[in-house]
Amino acid sequence: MKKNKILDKIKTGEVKMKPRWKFEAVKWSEMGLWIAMMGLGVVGAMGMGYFLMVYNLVELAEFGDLGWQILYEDFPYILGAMSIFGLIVGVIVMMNIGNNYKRSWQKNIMLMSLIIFLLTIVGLFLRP
Amino acid sequence: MTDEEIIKLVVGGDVERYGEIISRYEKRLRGFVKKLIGNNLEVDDIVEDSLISAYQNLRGFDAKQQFSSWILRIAHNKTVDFIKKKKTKIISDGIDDFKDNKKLIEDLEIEKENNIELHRAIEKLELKYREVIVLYFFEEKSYEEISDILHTSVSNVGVMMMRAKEKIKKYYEKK
Repeated sequence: MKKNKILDKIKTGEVKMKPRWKFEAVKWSEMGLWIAMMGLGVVGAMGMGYFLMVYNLVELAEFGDLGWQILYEDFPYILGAMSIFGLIVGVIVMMNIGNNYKRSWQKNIMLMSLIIFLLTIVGLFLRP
Repeated sequence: MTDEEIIKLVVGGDVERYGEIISRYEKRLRGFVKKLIGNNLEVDDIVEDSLISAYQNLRGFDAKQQFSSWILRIAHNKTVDFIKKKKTKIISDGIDDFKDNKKLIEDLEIEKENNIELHRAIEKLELKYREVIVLYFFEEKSYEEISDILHTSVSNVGVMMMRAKEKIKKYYEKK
């Protein structure tokens, strides 16, 4: 009978309950990873935002094809990739935290993008 | 005494009480796993693994959740692991119980006499669809609870349920 077999394993110490701190550690490490990914997304987006502020698009447009060529060549693609990576991994991690899985992944992507967007705006325009 | 009250006692040190949880869930988990993978020899091992894993993780159980949903989630994970590892084929004679579920037959609007066909139709469903059918019609879980067990959104549960029914009906139409 399973009941006796499992209870024997419990009583002999072969099967033990994991300590609470392990669950807390997993919870906080997930939270930390999520914040790190969001930070990556924000830094990438801020970098791109800063680039677009320095390379004024209106001025570049005045130079025609040459202006666009400068934009293509100098654009910080690595920051774009960093931001997208942060967003994607951030959403995957976010869906494992608490009850976030109850929201569809589309809604989670929108929520994460909104948070990154708002933090980027704050970072770019509200600097001291 | 509710499951959640017993869990509190077990976590508090009264490990003998876990026997009550095993008595309550052993048969239920066996039925659940059997409906997913058929009369496989390893059903008992999956059930035992699930009950042991539940005990090991009891301190991580959130009392706001239903214990039955939590333990079914563990059994679901163990079953998925088993299928991935063994790449097993579902053995048909383990899912005979489908024909006795009146609610399922009424909901699908099919003839009760056609039990063998229902059996085959469900047998052909992918695991994710079969699981939704089993949890809703046999475990009598709500969409909200199914979303907790499968860790997916409630709307996705609705979509999976709709697709599962469509697939069963399509199978009938072909016959």
